[in-house]
Amino acid sequence: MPRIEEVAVAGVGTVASQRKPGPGVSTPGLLARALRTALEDAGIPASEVDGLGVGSFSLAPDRTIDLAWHLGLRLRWMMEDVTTMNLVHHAVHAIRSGDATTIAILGGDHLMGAGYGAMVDDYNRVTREHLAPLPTGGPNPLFALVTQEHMDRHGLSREDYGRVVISQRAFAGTNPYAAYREPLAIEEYLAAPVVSDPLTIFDCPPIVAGAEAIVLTAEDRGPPGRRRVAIRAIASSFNHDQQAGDGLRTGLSQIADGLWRDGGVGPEDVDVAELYDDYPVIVLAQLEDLGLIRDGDASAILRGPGRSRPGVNTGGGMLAAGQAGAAGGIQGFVEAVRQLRHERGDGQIAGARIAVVAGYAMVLYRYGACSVGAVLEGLEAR
Amino acid sequence: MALDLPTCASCGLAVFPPHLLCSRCGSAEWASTTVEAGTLERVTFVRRSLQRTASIGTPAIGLVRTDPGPRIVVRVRGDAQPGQDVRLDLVDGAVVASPLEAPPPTKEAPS
Repeated sequence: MPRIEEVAVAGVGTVASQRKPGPGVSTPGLLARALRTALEDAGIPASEVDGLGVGSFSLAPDRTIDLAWHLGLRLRWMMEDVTTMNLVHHAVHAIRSGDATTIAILGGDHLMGAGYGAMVDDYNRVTREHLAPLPTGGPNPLFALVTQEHMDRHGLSREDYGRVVISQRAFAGTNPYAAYREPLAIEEYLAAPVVSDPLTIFDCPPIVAGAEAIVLTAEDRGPPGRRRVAIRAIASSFNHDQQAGDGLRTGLSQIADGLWRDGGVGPEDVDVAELYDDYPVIVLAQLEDLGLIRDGDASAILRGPGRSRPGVNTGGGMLAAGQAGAAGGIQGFVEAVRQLRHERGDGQIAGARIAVVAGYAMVLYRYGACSVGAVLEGLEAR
Repeated sequence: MALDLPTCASCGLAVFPPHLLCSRCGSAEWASTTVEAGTLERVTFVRRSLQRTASIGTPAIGLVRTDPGPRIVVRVRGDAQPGQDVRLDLVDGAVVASPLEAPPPTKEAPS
């Protein structure tokens, strides 16, 4: 696929992570607020939106069409998937083909307390029938096993995973949407309560309520004088290894070469990398799959704001900002857009022009099966 | 109860959990291979979980490699250690790994 020339990010919106949402907070309400924020950012009226993609675990029993009605949207294109970056992938081609002109991608969830417990035990049939009876109590022990494998493979210590968490916490201190903005010291990380060894509470994303929104168009619609953001390449890989591997190579390993080729850039050109971070090991695995690090060694780049290039998970990622269910899949995309527009204040990577974004999702049995990667380019204001 | 691994009747690929179609040859016909033991590769203790910390204790969850190929997520019983061969039993939907010399686990006391 040649470099994509005609799809731009017109606007983004975030509803700040809420660790203790009040009684009035609902999933549809969060999604609506994110959409309004992104449309205001884009300067586009809701009447121009003719495509809607929604990623949410907790919108049920409603579906995207119910939400569209309640949002007052008249649509020509519609899609739902909790692999939220997959919606972005399809939306890009819908705009290129002319099926839609202005597509809003929304991700958001309010999955707290008992609702979260019920979801993790009933996540899919395999979880219900083969993992919940053990009981695993959610995905943490599965990724503890993946982390053990990764530690042995590359000879890493807990400090190496702590570096991911600490760097992201430092970036979160610059992100007004993040749930946890205080810096974290390595001593505190190493002394943290264990969740499932070697994972501690800091290695697992805090569950929050929140939402993210992206508005895509065929031409940049942002206000004059603002930098623009184009999507240059996007690709997906689903179930690449039939869950028969060790979980250390994500689907990104299957599409990275194509992303660089199609995007006309390489790993050395990346200013910011926004990678799905359900656990630190998955950040390191994706950095490896993209060719941004070798043999698990990310010590040169995980150094917090203003210390290294590329910046990795420069909004704090889910580990610091919190995971609002399926919003997590596009949280990094939204952060990348802000970086490429040079709007990230103290968390800005100076002169950022190229971003790589990756979503990772759906633990079928032992690890995630879905990866979607994208290359974004920031352009001077017109 | 020993563990039966679904095995493709056409090409012999063993899988776990069960599949609908064989990922290697596409067949929908399945036989089964009984496995009584495997190698315990890794163990983690679940010390915190959001929903039921009080009721589940600290279960040991492990990864077992079976001779036919599949790696299985198991409940680890007794003092089975990584690197050891373990017996495998299916107890109330849970695959339980025990030290080879241990008596079979029961439904009431899987660990």
